[in-house]
Amino acid sequence: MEDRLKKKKVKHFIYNLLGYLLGVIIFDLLGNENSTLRVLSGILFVIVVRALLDLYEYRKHPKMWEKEKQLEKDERLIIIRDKAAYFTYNMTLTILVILWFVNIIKQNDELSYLISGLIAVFIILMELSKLYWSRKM
Amino acid sequence: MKNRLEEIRKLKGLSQEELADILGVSRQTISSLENGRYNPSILLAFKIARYFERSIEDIFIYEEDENGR
Repeated sequence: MEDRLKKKKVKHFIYNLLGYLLGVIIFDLLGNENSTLRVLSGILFVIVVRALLDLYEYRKHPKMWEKEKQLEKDERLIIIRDKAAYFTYNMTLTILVILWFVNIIKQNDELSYLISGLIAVFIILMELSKLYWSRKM
Repeated sequence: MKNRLEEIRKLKGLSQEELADILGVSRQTISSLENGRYNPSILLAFKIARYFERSIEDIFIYEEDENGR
């Protein structure tokens, strides 16, 4: 069991590294020199490569897919997902409010409007989904 | 809430992984239950009790001062 976990971790590390290198190489081949975008391209490719390899592994081992599906219903994982989502929502909202203040101070009106709109959409979506779930439960 | 899950599981000669598969939860859920880090839903408590052919109170021990936590 331990060995299997170690092998899996090493395999995932190698896949991540390959995905990152692929992203960086493709970005360089396109002739762009922005270093931040190069890193982002690497990260994007890590996500894409990992998703494709996961898909391949699930097709190769259908039982793994079934187990994964079953685990989606695991009540503890559902609670963890809920808490993580709520934390992410609060953090995103906080960041947006900070950005809104910064743009107000810098007198960047257009961006301020856009951010206020985003904040409103976030809050409305949250309240609507709370209302929906409270009626359903 | 305290519980005797680890003791009862071991009595039946099951590993955490095996019990998790039987109940349709993750191994980490079983581990968290046994360590008292996580309290199960009433549905999972029933599933566990049914599987071991015991009452819920026999496995999970409710403590009055925990109320509201």
